[in-house]
Amino acid sequence: MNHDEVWNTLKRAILEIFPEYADREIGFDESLKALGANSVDRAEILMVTMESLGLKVPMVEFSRATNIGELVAILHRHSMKE
Amino acid sequence: MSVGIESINAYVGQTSLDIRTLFERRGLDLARFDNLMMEKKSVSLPCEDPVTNAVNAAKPIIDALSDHDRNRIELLITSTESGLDFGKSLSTYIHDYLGLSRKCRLFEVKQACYGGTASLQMAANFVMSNASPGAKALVLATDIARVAAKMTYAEPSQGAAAVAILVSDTPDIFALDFGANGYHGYEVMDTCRPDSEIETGDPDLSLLSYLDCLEASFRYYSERVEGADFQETFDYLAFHTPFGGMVKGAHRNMMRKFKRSSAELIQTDFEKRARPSLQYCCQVGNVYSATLYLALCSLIDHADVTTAKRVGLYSYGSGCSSEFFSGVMTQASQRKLASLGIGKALTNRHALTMEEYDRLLNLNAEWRFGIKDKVMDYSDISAIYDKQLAGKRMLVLKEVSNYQRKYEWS
Repeated sequence: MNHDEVWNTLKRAILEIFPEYADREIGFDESLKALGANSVDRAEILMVTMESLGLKVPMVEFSRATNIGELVAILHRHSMKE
Repeated sequence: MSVGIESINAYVGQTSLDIRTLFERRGLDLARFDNLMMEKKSVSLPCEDPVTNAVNAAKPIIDALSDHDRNRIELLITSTESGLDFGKSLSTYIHDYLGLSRKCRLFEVKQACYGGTASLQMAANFVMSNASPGAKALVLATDIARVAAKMTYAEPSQGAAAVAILVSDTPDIFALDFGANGYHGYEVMDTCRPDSEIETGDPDLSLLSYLDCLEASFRYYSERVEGADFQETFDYLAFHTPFGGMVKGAHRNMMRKFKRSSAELIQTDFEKRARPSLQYCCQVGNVYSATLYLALCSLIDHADVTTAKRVGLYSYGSGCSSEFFSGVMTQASQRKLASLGIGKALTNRHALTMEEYDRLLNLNAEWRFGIKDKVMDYSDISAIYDKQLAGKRMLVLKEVSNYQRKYEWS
């Protein structure tokens, strides 16, 4: 799976919870928190993304990510393993 | 042989604070309020502590026992993350003020919010071992918030309460499915109490760990219980509830993962199976190791038990340790618990103004951990004391003298 595929899957999950962002660019340096996602929303976005990618990664692996770019990097790294 | 909860009671304190008011007056972002799904929280008085709360929870169920049954309590475990001494367990004071038999093991258990479940499981195993046939065990889960969280986003959800659980081979309230346990524990630094006055950590990491452990402990449960299904097996659910929004998110997570349910079905399922257990927690706040058992009380008081119902329970304690287990409640369970009047006790709490609340926080802070000598000055809280406690025969803290804590009946 390539980086773009992972990013697009994450973006779709974000838009599922925040459809209002459909027409806006989401930068890799932005954080889900800054986009208005609370802790429960953020966990859901990750879960939906992993479901779509067929990944099984413990949620705690994502706690160190400080922005969306880092989330994509972690997801991509795990997708390469499977 | 069956085992489980013979009696249970929750002590929910004497005062409450409206959470929306707290958000407004502290200038917290109201956008975060809805996610909490909380209405009120319980606030301790300076004459209350984890010992008084535990005794006040246990007294009604102990008083209802015959002398013979009371004397068969041979194990008293207190679970707390609000301990008062590094060596001497809270069980010693609780044992004394409840007038229990000296033929009893007394000790304290600590593993954050998992402590109550750890104690319940050890008590159940003691009963089932038949090492002392007919013996009962008393479990107290008792916790209070640390004052220093004032002005943070932790402040709204922190409460204080105690739940007393009598465990025996006559489980009138809740019969455990003995052996149907899935547990999951590992090291993670999510939240902790590294200093006597603070609770700290990463609440976001804690939510993620909570979710991972819910899935892992349920998977282990499913390995041990043939045909276990997250939706079909459990008529109701009760989870450790730091705040209601977390339970809602966790339930949604599990339904999508295990049942591939639509958003609509998930919402209906949540309202039916999980909502009843949240009614009391959203009035009291996070009470740490006692929370899951307050949720169970709420469930038994509010569920439809025209026929016996199986409940799936999830316990999580930061650091971390978790467990998914189950049991059965009946109409008789509901009748017995109703007589304790927990719902009424909640509405009887004095509703604090913000000024009263801030004053209580300051008074509570004077009873810092490790205090050697101090006498309770009731004049500071006379109005609330006269209204809520005077003549009610509740245990209150009188003084600390050379480190020993002395209590009296109000």
